[in-house]
Amino acid sequence: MSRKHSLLLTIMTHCQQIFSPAMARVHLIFFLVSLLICTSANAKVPSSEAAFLNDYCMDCHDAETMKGEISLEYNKLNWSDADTKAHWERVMNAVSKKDMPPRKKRNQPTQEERDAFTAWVDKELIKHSKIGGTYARRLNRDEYERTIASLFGTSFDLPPGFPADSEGHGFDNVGESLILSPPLMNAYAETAAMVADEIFPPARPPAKSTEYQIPAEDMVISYSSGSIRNGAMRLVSKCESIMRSCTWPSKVEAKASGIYKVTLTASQFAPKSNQPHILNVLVRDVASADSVDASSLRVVKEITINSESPETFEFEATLFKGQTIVLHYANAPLDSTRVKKEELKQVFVEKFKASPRYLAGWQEMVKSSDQGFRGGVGWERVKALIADDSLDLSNATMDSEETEKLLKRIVGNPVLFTETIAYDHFENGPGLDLHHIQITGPISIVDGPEDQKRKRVQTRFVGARNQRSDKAWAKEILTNFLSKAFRRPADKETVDAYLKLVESHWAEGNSFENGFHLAIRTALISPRFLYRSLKPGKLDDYDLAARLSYFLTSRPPDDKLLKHAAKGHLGDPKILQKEAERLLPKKYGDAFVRNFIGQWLDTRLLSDIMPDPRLKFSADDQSKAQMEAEAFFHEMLTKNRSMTDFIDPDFTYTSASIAKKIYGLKDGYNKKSRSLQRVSLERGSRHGGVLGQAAVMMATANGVDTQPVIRGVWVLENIIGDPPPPPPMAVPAITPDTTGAKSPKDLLKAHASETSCAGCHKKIDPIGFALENFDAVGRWRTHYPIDTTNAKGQRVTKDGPEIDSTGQLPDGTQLNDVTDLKRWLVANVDQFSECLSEKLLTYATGRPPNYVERKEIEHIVESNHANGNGFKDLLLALIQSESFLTK
Amino acid sequence: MSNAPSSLDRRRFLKAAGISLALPMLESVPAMASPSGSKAKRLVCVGGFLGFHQAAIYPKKTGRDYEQTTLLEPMERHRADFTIFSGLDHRSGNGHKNWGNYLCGQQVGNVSLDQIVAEKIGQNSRFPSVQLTAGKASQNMNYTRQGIALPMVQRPSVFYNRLFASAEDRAHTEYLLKSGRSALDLVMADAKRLQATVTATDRAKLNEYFDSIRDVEKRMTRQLNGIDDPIPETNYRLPDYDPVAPNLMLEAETLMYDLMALALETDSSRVLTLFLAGLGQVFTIDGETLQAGYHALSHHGNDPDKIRDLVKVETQHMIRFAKFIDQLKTKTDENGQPLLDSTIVVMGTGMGDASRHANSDLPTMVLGGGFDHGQHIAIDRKAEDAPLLGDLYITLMQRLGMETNEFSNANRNLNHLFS
Repeated sequence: MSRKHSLLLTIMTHCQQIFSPAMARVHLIFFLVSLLICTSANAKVPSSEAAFLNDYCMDCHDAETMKGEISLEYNKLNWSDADTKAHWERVMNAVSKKDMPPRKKRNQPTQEERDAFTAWVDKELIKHSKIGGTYARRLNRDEYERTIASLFGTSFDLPPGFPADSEGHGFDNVGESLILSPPLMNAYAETAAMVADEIFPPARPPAKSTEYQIPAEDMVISYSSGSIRNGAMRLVSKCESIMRSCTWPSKVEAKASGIYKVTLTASQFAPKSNQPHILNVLVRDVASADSVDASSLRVVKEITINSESPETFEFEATLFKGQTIVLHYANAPLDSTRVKKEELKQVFVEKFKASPRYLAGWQEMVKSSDQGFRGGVGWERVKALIADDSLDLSNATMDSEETEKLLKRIVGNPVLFTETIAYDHFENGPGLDLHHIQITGPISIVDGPEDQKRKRVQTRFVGARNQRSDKAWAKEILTNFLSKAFRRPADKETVDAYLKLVESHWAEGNSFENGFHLAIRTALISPRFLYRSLKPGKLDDYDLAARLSYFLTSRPPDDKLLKHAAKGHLGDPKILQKEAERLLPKKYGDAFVRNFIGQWLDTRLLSDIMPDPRLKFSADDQSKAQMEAEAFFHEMLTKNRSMTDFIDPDFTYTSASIAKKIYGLKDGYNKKSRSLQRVSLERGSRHGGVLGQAAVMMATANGVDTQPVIRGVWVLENIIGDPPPPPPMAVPAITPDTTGAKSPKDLLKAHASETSCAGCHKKIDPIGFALENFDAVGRWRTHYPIDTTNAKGQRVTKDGPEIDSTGQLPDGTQLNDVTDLKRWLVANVDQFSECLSEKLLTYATGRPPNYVERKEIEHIVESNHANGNGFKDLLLALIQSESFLTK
Repeated sequence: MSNAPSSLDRRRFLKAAGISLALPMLESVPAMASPSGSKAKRLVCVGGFLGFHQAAIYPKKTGRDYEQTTLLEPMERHRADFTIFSGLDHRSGNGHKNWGNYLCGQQVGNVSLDQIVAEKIGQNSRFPSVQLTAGKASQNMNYTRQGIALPMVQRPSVFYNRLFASAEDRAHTEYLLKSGRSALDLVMADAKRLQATVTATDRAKLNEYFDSIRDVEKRMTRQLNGIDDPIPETNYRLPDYDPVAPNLMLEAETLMYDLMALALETDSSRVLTLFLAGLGQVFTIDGETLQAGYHALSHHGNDPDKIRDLVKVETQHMIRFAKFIDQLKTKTDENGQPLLDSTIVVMGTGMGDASRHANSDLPTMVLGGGFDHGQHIAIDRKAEDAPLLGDLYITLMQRLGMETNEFSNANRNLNHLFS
């Protein structure tokens, strides 16, 4: 379970526990312990600030009362401690925003007193925060996978079972959280050996030629693709899916890539006219999915069969390692593919016209359940019915209503009906009989795609020898390889160490290639490969190139970027900006968009959520919803749209299905298209923007119902940038009211009056309730649904209590629904921009921005706002920030 | 391995690293004998994707005096050695997608029973756990604690080659291990050089690196020390093709059972699972080709002809399963006792009724492990406080020597009904 999921769970549990005034004992102890740590060191609170605390805070926040689990009773402050800083920043914000002292207290500080106090905290925080400080950051799974692919110029998939990454601060690329554990190191070592084996494979004895005899029994049947009749494999269908039309040898698999001799004996069975039967010989990988389309397979031979007595055909076919031949009756009359349903209907119509008994038999048979007549069982039943004297023929005319209904059913489920009528064809034709196949080979060896790929990779790796000695050549190979692997020029000491390793490996009697096999295995477990940016302080050009490249592409720097680094050009803001623009995502599915959105907006959670069937949200809707979030973000970025468009845009990307079902859009989109399309929206509407997207509403619910507190917290954390502290632990649970008599609002009201809860919930709840009109997949609703059963015992959904989406933000703004919330966010867009900037910098630098870094963000956001407020401009400015440029 | 070069004859197979190799199935070298004392030391779980037709497997009578059923008929000779449970499940959702609840419990993707057990009893075997499938697996069955689905081996030859490595594989493994030492030396020296230049926090980070490298070193040393140990030998030979074609699934099933028995006998692994696939395979049984694919048969809609054919396929599963149990009775452990006595075998499924895609009331059989067998234990799942399948799993884990009271949504046990 991801951290976010567990965070949501914590909050969910908490939501059901809100009502107790009692505080957790465990939490108290924990807090006291952290207090002890805080007070153990240096700076004293100056006397004027101590007086301020004493006058206005200590009634509730002394070490004994500790209201809200907060004590301000300090002797000394350890400003180097991160928790201390976070704690005092909260105190400062509470004082400056006048959240504290509580308004109902009579004894309030003057504005001057407040300013003086907050200025002191601010000064201390600035003094004790330094820009930078990312922990050594190892590659995460995704980066590791792309890095290996890019290093060797090949495709590479992580082996299944490769350990997962842990998340920190909402992202899976944060240095502090990316632990390197023994099992992971073992996996790195194993993967390194795998990669080396791929490039320089161990020698294997050459494959011997084998002769395979394949009688009909050794050919595959699946679904109704074939049937053994009179000792031959009979095919009757040309359906695209090979599982439903083809057969192939079940016990043959090319042991090596090469030319094989195929001898095949086949004949026509009950041809309908003198038209020949076409047999296509295709090839497939035995290990690939069985459900592939015939048209996607390589054709090695087309055979025309004209005779009802067996004929033998001989030909040569190239089979790559792991492949076998597949046999497809290419002009069969049957085809269960949906687009060919009219063709299938004609097959039935002809048979019906020819025999009213046949028609009546089918009419009678389909009265049983669909499942009951599938396959040969169904055909046996039709035959029995046809032979039955009492068969009712009264409707067996082509113009009867029953016939029309039957034909409608046939075109409605071509797969099912083909599976049954296939047995008629197995019996009565037309069919294509395969009597025997012989495959012999390999008679000569060819390079399969794997071999060709490997040779390309090898050539790229070793380069040209140019009449040099082994050692001189090896030195160049290693210098190139290590520089690429370590993302900076390999120094002499490093190259020498690897050269020595390779040479002593040769000295032990190993081959030239094996020297590099070992070098690859070594480099891929080196800290220089696994970690990036180890040098403290301001990033040098190479570390900067890596940070920029992994940020925007999840890949190591490419040649162009490395060239700039080599010349020391990346310190030039203009060149840095040009390079950043060059690396911006080209399409919405690119790594940066997918990885960043997936974690910022939590769309990664979507694949784990199974929406309640009653929400009628299909798997395709689910994937389109995720694409919407990505495509929207991509346009925001590449078109440099204004930051306010994140909240209240005049466009989105969606599918016709979601536009209609979820967003309730009447027109303005292509209703027939099944792909993602750009749709214009009216500004100020409910849908659109990050707060109106199906994906976001889904990620912040659980697939069944919604919880206002979860969405409220989520918005505070990810949109407004003011996350509430974790809820107090171990308060007793309340039982949710499942009868629907009480609305969530009633249920949450009680704690709003409880001061220790109110502090946070007055921020959380109005936002959560403003979003309550969106159900668990983002569909607009006005009432909570109640699930019940009707008189017939069917499950139905009724309208329950009306949704009350009204509320008041802490600053007094009245909200009627989400459109008011959006309006408020547009008016306060800098707060959103700062929040998004923090997320972007966390993702880019691998650390959450500290106090001074957030100050820098504030300045960047402010000046970007003054200059058009474009998102691309903001992102580029963040790349030029001190925070980005420092380790 | 009579055709292997003599210098390698008595060497223990260590590692067959190849691109197709799944990491969790990497073998480790036994460091010590497994702690004894608990009655059961091994776990085998077989999971049928399409389940078992309830009317054909469940007896009507409960207790010891239950009547024979069609699907239990092939198991009759083992009657005293198994227990059949009805009415147990995980209260999980329905549908094929939720099939994985079989070993995961209520939530698919949570750590599965086999992996929990492997942590405790699998670590000292060459393969801490093994995941196999007969037929192409369309579903995951095994999940790590991190929620990662483990791949299953479909080719008997792949598993065979891991158990009884070829000469080339063993030579390559030895090569990797011996040369791997110098790789570790180099990166350690390099990391030390680096450590002098980094910040204090990164020095701590690099300590993670040093610790991890040392662990790799230890593993390699262990494997190198074990390189002269005898490798398991066998006269067993596979056919020269892999039965991966859909309609050869039953043949693959036979071979996988044979290999599982060999793996247990040679103590190569103590935790094994086998998935029984169920897609469009059209089987030929006793010379007669069935009239529809396996999956189509499972959606029988109570059609008697289809149910008849479906039960024919399920009977084939039971015949093979019964033969596997025969092997566990004849093959013995290091103390000369039948393997079955100290092995818990579970035959179950994540699907209670494939025709309706219902995942409640999962037919489950348990064998071995020193339990008092011979009964049909029927649970009334509608009763208040009705036990869950997870409660049975807790009983099994306790029998395997694990001190636990929890599995998924279950937190009791079935010891009062089954011990």
